[in-house]
Amino acid sequence: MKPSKKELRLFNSDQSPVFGFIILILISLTLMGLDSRKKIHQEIKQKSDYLSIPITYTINLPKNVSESLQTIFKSKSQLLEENLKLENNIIDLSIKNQRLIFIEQENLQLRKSLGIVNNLGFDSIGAEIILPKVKNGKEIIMINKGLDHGIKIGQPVINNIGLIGQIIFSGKNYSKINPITSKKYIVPAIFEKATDNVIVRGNGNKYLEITMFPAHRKIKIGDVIMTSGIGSIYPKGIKIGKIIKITPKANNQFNHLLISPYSAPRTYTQVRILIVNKHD
Amino acid sequence: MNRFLIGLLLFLFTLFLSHIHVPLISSIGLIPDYFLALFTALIATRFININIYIYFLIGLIIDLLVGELIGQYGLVFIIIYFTNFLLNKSFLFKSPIMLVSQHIFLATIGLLVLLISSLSYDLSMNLNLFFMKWIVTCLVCLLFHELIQHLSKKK
Repeated sequence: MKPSKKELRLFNSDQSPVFGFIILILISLTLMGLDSRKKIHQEIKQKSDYLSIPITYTINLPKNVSESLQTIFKSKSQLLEENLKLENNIIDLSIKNQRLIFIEQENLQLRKSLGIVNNLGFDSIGAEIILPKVKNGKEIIMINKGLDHGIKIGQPVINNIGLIGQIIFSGKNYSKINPITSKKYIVPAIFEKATDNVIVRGNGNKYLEITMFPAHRKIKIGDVIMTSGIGSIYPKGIKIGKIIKITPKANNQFNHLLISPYSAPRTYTQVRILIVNKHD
Repeated sequence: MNRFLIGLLLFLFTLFLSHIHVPLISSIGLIPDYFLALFTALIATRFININIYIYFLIGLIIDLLVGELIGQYGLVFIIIYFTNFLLNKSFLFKSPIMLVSQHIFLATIGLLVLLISSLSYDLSMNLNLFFMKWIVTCLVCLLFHELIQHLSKKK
């Protein structure tokens, strides 16, 4: 039954946005709360992955075209020169590898005789860093491998220089990495001399830091820090960075250590995602 | 050209802009919030006649595409829309200075809401970076305003 004009109505047909505004505020606050606690955003993003494929493709198109053109027009002499360099590299690496195989065998025998569990085993998947490197004013690292290639959230990412970060989002054909310098990044670490176990965190500005390190422990600028393997996410022995600054805290009982990472995000294009065998 | 189609093209252009690194700008703080700038200009100029619910839905889509927290841009757009509604009840924006002030005020409100809601997942904030972002976002918002005015006149 239609209400008469004189009848009081709860909702009139005016275009005032006050009612809608209050309702929408409540909806958006609920959504934000749910997302903040239950991470519904990631689930929805994974399901609506196809929305971002055209954007990623378009942004990478000029780079891909230029790379293809460079490959096509590379001269024979350039290719031969490159080939020679690579062959030399292979020889160097195979010599190093022979030594490493010997050390590995020796290490295995020592571990067996001492009864130490082997926590060094891991497989890896190679991936290439793709564009975009920025998303809505925030720096990101994207790679061209995703769920289809066995990439999962939480896997560590490294290259030949050291630790790069950790997978924080995995789509169908691409993944997002949280770099080690991000404020949301924490990794259990150890000094190269295996003296102290520490927690290293990104400072959000190109560096990492250890906020409270006992002042009586002997350390110096240039000391190398690597993953400790505690927590079973990162294998032991991946280089993270080296100390570049030691600042005493106000009470003189602790020092603040600033660490420069070995792998700066703009210096590499190829990465490897580690699949850690926890029960190895 | 249909205003909705122009709006869609502007949206796609902004989506593309938000994914590229502007050469010579190394600091991430100097990258404006393009979506906030565009929608502040669209709401302030009333270029497309759509209601608060549609703006909220567009905000949700932006959250899915580039956002970090679902509902964040939705909240920002409805607050900008409502603030603009209240401003228009009290003032008549005619002169260029008034229009510029209106855009800057709305963009500032939007950025503040974004900052406050970001504190739920960002562990800390840098006021200098926020100040730089505010300046560049306001500038881009005014550029979008000029573009929209130009397109309106052309039509």
